[in-house]
Amino acid sequence: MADLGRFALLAALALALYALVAGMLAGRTRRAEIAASAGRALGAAAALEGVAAAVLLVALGTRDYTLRYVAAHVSNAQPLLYDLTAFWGGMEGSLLLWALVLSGYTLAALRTVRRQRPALVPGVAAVCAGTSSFFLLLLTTVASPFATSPFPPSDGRGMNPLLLNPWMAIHPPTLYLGYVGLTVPFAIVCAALASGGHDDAGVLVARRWLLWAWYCLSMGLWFGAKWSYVVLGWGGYWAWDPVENAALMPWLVATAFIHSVMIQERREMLTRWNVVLVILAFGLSIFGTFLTRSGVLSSIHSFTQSPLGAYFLTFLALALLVGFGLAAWRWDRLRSRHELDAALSRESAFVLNNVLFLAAAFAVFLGTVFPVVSEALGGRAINVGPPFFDHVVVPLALGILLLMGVGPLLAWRRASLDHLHRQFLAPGAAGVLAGAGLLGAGVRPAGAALAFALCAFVAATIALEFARGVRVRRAHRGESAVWALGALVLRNRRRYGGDIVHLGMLLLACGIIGSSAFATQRLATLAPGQDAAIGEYRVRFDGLAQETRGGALSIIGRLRVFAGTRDLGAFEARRNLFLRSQDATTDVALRSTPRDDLYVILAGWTADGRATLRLLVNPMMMWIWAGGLVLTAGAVIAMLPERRAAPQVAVPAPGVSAGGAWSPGGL
Amino acid sequence: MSAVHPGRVGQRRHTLVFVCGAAAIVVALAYLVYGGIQQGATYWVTVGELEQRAGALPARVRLGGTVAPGSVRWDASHRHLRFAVTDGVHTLPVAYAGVVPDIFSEGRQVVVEGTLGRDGTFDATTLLAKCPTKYTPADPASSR
Amino acid sequence: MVVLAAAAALWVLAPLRRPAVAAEEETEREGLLRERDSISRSLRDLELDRATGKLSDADYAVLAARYRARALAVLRRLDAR
Repeated sequence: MADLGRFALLAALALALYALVAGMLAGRTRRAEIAASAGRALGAAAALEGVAAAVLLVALGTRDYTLRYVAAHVSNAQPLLYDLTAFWGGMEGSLLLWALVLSGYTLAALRTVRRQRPALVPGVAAVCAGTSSFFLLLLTTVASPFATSPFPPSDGRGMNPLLLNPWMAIHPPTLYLGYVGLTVPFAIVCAALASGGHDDAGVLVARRWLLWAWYCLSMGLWFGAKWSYVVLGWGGYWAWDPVENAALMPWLVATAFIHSVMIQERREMLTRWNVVLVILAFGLSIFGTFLTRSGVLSSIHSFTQSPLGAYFLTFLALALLVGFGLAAWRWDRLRSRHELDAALSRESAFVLNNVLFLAAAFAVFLGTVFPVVSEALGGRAINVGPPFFDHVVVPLALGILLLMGVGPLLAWRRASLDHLHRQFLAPGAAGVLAGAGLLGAGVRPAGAALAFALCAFVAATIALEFARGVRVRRAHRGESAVWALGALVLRNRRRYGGDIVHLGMLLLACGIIGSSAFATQRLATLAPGQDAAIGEYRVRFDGLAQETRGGALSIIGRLRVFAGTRDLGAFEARRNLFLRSQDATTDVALRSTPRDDLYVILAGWTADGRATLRLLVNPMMMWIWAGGLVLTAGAVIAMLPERRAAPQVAVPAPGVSAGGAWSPGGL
Repeated sequence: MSAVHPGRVGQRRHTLVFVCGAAAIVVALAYLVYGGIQQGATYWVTVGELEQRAGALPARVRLGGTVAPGSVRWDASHRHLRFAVTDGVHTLPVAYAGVVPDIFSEGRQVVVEGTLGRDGTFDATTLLAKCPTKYTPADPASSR
Repeated sequence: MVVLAAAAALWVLAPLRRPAVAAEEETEREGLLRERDSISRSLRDLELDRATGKLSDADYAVLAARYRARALAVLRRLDAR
C-alpha cells in the first residue's frame, strides 16, 4: 500500500513537471495542442494525488501502523472520525491535502479560463503545475506521508487530544481552501502578464477566485477562533500567535484587493496595485505555511535543522521573483487609463482603506518575524508579543472601521459638499448620540464607548444604504418594503452582499470591543455548597465528581448558576487528564447570551473536595460568532454568479435618459 | 471645475494630496510601530537574560522558554505545579498555582509572569503556553 | 504500475500528434466588451448614487455625459469590427 502511495506521488510529480514545461512551451509557441497536453497531464496528476490520498485515508482508517504518519497520529482508542481527520492533523498529510486541493482548483481554473480567456490557459497551467511540483517534491522527499518503519508499534500515539474536536476537524481544511485558493489568482495574473495583450492583467478574471479564497480564509479564521475559545480553555479567542497571524496576513491583503479591484473594474485604474496585491497575497500564503512548518519561529537553530524551511524559502523567493519580474516587465502597459476625478470620492476612500489594510498586514508581519529578524541581526530574539499588536493594529482597525462608514456615503468619482453634509447628518447624529448616551450612562473606559459610537455610526450608514435603496425601488415600482428589500439585494448582489459582509464585520467589531474592554474574571476556591459572585452571576459549587472515558480521567466540578434569584440551571466544568500522553484538556462551563458569556474553568481541586474555579464574564462574545454567520450570508450573496450585462443595458442614448426612469439594479 | 475636468493642474493637485496623505500614513505607522516595540520589546526575557541582568530588570518580569522535559511535577491536589523553564543553556525552576492551559506540556514553549524568588525559584502568577500544533512544527525538539 | 504509467503517458501525449486549432486571439474585442461592461456598471452606479441623493444633478449630468461619450466610442469600435 505504501508503495502505491509513494509511486502515485512520484508519478504525479513527473506529470506536474511535464505540465510546467509544456505549459511554458505552449505559451511561447502559442500551440494549442501542447496546452491541451499540459492540461491532461495536470488532470492525470490530480487523479494520482487522489489515489495517494485514498491510500493514506485507508491506512488511517485501518490503523496501519507500519506507516510512520499513521503511528504518529492515530491510536486504537481514537474515534474513527478523528482517525480520518488525522489526514490533516500532521504536516505530511496536510501537505498532501494542499497538493490535492491545488490540483482540484487547477482543473476548475483551467475550465473557466478556457471559456473566458483561452490565451491564458498555458500560463495558468504552467504556474499551477510549478506550484504543484513544489509540493509534490516535498511529499516525495523530505515530508513523505508514506514513510514506513520496520518495527511497527502495536498502538499509535494518536493526535493531541486538543485536536479531537469538531471545530478542529474543519478548521484546517477550510484554511487550506483559502490559502491554496490564492494560487489561482496568482496563476491567472502571471499568465496574463506573460502573454501580454491583457490590459487588465487578468485581474478581473482573478477576482472571483480571490473572493472565494478570501471567504475560505475568513471562515478558517473564524473556526480557529471558535476552537480557541471553546476548547483551549483560556477564556479568549485570539492570541496573536504566529499561526494565527500567518492566516491573518493574506486575509488582510485579500480584503484590500476585494476593495481596490472595484476601482479597476469601474475606472480602469490601480491595475498595477492590484497585480501587486495578488502577488503579495500568494506570497503570504506560502510564507504562512513556511512560518508554521519550518520551526523558524521557535528558534533559528531549529530552522536549520529541518530542510523544509530552506525548501519553502527558495520556492517563495522564486515565486515572488517570477511574479514581480513579470509585473515589472509589463509595468508600462498597466498604466491607469484614468485619473481620480476628485480627492473626495469613494475611490479615494478605497485607496485609503487599502493603505490601512496593507499597513495592518505589514504590522502583523513585522511583529511576527521580529524575533527571527532580531535574532539574526543582534543575536537575541526579541519577542514583541501581544502588546505590540494591540498597540499598532487597534488604531488601524478603528481607522478601517471609520472608512467602512464613510465609504458608502461618498459617491463614486466625486462627492459634492452640500450632499455630503446631508449624507452625514443622520449617521453622524446616530454616532454622536450613541457616544453621548454610553458616556452618560457611565460606560468606561471612554475609548470603548467611543469605539461603540463609531460602530453606531457605521451601522447607521449601512441601514441608510438599505433604506435608500428600498425607498427608491418602492417609489418606482410600488412594492412592499420587504419585497423591495429582497429584490434590491438579489438584483445588486455584489453591492448589497458587500453591505451585508460589512454588517457582519460590524457585529464582529462590537463583539471584539465589548469582550476585550469589559471582560471580568476572578479566581475562587470553594468548598461544596459555597458560591462565588461575578458580575450579575452567582456560581454555586456543588461538589466534585470523577469519570473515566476514552483514555482520560475527567474531574468534574458540578456547578449551579444563578442570576439574582433566578436559577439558570446546572453546569459542569471538567478537566480531562490523559494518563498516557500527559495531555490535559478542559471542558469549560459556558453559558452564552447576546449580553455576555459566563465562562467557568475548573482550575484545580483538593483531596478534601474543594475546587478552585476561574470565573470569567466575557461580554458580547455571541456577537463575534453571529458576525461570522452574517459575513457568510453576505459573501454567498456577493459570490452568486452575476448575470452578464446585456447589450441593451449598456448605453441609453445621450439626452434621452437624463431624467429618465431609473430602476434600482437596472437589468 | 478642475476637479471634474482634471487638467494638469488638477491632476498635480491630486497627486500632491495623495503623496501628502501617504506620507502622513507612513509617519503614523512608523510612530505606532515604534511605540509598539517600546511597549512590547520587553515582553519577555529568556532564562539566560534573567540570570545575567536580574538587577537591571523590574522585579516583575515575563519569562519565556521551553518546559524542560521530565521536569513537570504536580502536587497531590493537582493545584500546585512545579516545572523548569529552559532556553537550551540555562534552566530555572518555576512554581505556579492557578489555571494551567490545556496546551501546557513538556517541551512546549511557555511564557510565565512573576518574580524571581531568593531561593532561585521563579514564582509565577500567570502561565501562558504558545499555541499548540494545529500544524506540527518541523522542529523535532518540540514535536517528537 | 508500469502499464498504468504507460497508459497515462499515452493519454497525456495524445493531443500532440495533430495540431489543434490555435486558441483564437480575441483580446481586442474582449477588451472592448470589458470596457463596455465597465462603463455600463459605472453608469448604473452613477444613477443609483443620484437616486439615493449622493450626487447632485449637476455633477451627475457632467459625469454621465462623459461616460456616455466614452460608451458611444466603444460601441462604434465594436460595430466597426
